[in-house]
Amino acid sequence: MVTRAEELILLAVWRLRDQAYSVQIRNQVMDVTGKFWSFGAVYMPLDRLVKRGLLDSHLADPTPERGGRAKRIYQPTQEGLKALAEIKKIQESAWDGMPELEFGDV
Amino acid sequence: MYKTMDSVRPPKVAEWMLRRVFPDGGDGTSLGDFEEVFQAMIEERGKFRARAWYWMNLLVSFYSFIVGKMVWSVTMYQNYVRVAFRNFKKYKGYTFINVCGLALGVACCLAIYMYIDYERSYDNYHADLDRIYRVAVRDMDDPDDPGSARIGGPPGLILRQQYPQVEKVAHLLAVHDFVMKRGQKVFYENKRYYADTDIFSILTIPFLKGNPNTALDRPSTVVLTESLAAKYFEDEDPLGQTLQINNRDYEVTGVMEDPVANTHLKADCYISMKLIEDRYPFDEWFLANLYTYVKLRPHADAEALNRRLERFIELHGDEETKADNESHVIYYLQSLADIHLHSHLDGEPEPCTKPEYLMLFGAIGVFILLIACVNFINLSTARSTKRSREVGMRKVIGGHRGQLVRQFMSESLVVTLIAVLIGVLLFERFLPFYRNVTHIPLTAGQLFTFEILMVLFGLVVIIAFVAGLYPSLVLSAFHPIQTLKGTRTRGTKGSGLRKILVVIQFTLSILLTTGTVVVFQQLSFMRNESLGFDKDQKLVIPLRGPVRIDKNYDLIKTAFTQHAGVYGATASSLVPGQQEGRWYAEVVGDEDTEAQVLNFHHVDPDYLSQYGLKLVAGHFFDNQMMTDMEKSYVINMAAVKAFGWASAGEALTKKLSVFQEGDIIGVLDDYHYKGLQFAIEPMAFLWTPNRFDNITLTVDTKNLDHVMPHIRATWTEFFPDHPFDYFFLDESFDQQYRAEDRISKILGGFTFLGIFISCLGLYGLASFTAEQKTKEIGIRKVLGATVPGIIGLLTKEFMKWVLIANIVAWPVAYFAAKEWLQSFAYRMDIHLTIFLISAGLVVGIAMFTVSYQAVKAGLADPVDSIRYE
Repeated sequence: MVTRAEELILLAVWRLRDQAYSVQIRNQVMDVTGKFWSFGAVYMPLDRLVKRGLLDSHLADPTPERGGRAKRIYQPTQEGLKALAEIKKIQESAWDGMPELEFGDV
Repeated sequence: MYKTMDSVRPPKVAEWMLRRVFPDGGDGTSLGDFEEVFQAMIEERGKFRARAWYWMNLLVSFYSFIVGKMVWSVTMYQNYVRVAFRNFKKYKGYTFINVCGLALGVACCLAIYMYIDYERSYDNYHADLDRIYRVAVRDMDDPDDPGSARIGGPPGLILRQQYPQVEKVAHLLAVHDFVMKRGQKVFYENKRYYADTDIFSILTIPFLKGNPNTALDRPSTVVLTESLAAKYFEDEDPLGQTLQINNRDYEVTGVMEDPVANTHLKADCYISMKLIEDRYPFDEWFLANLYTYVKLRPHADAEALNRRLERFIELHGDEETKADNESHVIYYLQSLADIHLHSHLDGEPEPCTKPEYLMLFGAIGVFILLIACVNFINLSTARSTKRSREVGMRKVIGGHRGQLVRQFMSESLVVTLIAVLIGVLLFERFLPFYRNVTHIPLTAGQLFTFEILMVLFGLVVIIAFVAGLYPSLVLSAFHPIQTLKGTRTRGTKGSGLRKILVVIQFTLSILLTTGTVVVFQQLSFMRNESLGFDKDQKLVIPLRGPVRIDKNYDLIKTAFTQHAGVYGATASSLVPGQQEGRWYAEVVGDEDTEAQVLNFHHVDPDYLSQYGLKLVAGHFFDNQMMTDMEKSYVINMAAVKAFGWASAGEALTKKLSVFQEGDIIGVLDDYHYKGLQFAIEPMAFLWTPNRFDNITLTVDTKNLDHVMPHIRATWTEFFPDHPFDYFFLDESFDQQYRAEDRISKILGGFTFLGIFISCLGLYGLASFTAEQKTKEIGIRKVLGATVPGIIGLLTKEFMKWVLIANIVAWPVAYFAAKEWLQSFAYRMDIHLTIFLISAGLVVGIAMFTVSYQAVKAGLADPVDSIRYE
């Protein structure tokens, strides 16, 4: 099982492809959710996803605008992709047959 | 390393903090992330906003860091706690022993902590405590003289007039036992002080009514405590009203709160010093009657003042005083907060507590806690076999050692937490009992102060750590393959340490027991030792306040003895157990014999027979020889020795000069007129009727119902206006042993608990051993071992260690007991029997504990036991 935050971040990493490093990931999830995410809120799930083997990471070359520090680029592993696919499947079947309209008034 | 052109760097401190919290394996990607956005912010919004952003985001990130960590570790700890509780359920007996022992230990510690804390809290509530002092005096030439809490008048007056660094000076003069009267209400009251009104600006004595700055400015004014005011005035406003103290009218000018328990100065009322200003010799340096309190100005140098006080007589005395100061008397400042624990001078208004006792109790607290911790360690390591499989399993699945240590530590933490909780409840439950024994006004509310919570928190941490560390290290070290294969790491691992711990445990128990036995024996020694006088059946009527008898004392005595139940009567200034007046006595016409300090007793001729004293030489006062009255002296043997005379007979040839000259007409054998803590000092007896303050009646105590009405009626006949009061001599004499009595009770209680906790542990160990050896015992029985043989087998092992504990404990106990007994002038001998008694007690209890398990194992049917496992 992945938590909601982990799910969002996993998805963001997959979408960003080779641009998937924490700054971009954070921007992505903030865009998607429309809420403020602190860096810490991104690092912790990223760490856990790596530990559980759903994500892989490598260091990219340092750039000047980062004060000479490297970026850590993340990418989903086979496990991670499988997990994403599963999440999607579960989501879809769970939502199956729910008319959009019923939410309109909420 | 790249460098940006404008080179605006993020805040250094923030970067450092960031690196601490998100190390990222040291590659600094998190720093990079922050900096990337930071640099973009500078472009957009400027440096200032960018910095603010950096800090803001750092802090917000911490939050998610902490929450993120917690969620996961809580999950883990939840599991630890769940496993812990499963274990508790599985091994209920052991858990009970652990929790029970620790809870008792915690309750003891709490009790001891509160006792020590209370004793240390004396007088710490006064405002400006750091600049309030009492002036005391000490004789530098006499090392045995503790010094006096009371001094003469001149130092205080000089400090007030000539020393600008002294803000306020107040004298107190104690006059105890007095009659207070208002209308129909007449009672004896106890503690009264003549005082300067400045006492209220030096000490913190809150006023409920009246003005503390002027309360005692006029003569014949009095400030009462709240409870005295309520007693005499009930609902009326006492201010401005009049009441009588010893038949003199006083105006009430103030009502103060009742004195708190933890002050060395507890007064029922203060009377204006103005009343006796003209009559009291304030210019006498050596008439030590006045408690002198001073408050220095802020930042005044107390040390410098102390140095002046040491030479005060030299600096300020007149020629005559300097000449008198042969023995080199020095004055010094005593910090108010130090008085209760560190003063111990003559004439203290309240008995002080010896700090050694606080240390003793502190040590006992630590002992008991240690004993309880040892139980925990022993039982956990002994049972390690039981859990070796669990450890192996966890390791194989991937648990590393740190996690196992954490798991076992959390178990000990859970046990400790439960134990502390129970301990607090237990203590709260027994608080009233404890309050009675110690006479400390503790309330349950005081249990829940921040300080106590910190102490409890400290206890939890210490116990959990001390008790849990070793077992967790041992258990987590098991090798997974061996444990799972069944090559069982037996409980024998660490059994050496276990034995040592048992020895330590019982050493401590035996120490406590020996201590208790010594205190009890010394107490009973003091109670039963022949005092050299009769203290039984003595009813004493004190003549208090304005009640005086003089030459008509004989008439009064005769009236009292009219009843068949009153066997005799005697009048005296004091009865045994009371502090007497001392004075220098010189031998007339003998320059070589040094003058001696004698204790003076004023008695009538019947004192000898009524108190059953023994005359060694000469004769006592005689009703037929009125010439002896107020002139002749009778002394005791101690006085004969002090003067250096060869025999009692030689003393009869001498003349003493004290207030006046007089012959020594008789010598009395020594008797213990004070408790056995004190040596018998030289005494002199005088027949001085106007100094009589007590009438002692020898009464038939079996028929008190008949005797008392007669005594009461006789009193009313002679003193119709004064309330009747009496006490029994044996009771009041034993009051001198109150401190020791208290100690023995407290010590006895804690010792009992200590032994109880030790035996709990021993019981646990014994049952464990019996369980482990079930099979062995079964086989032995099949092969023909007898039940006693089996019991011996199991008991022997434990008894060996308890006996070794004895050998360790005895020398320590011996020296401790000897040290304590030093404070008594008359002490019992430390016999081997004391050690045998305490050893027998502890060994007996231990034996009983172990043998229960041993008998159970010995009687078990071998068929069942061999089938076991």
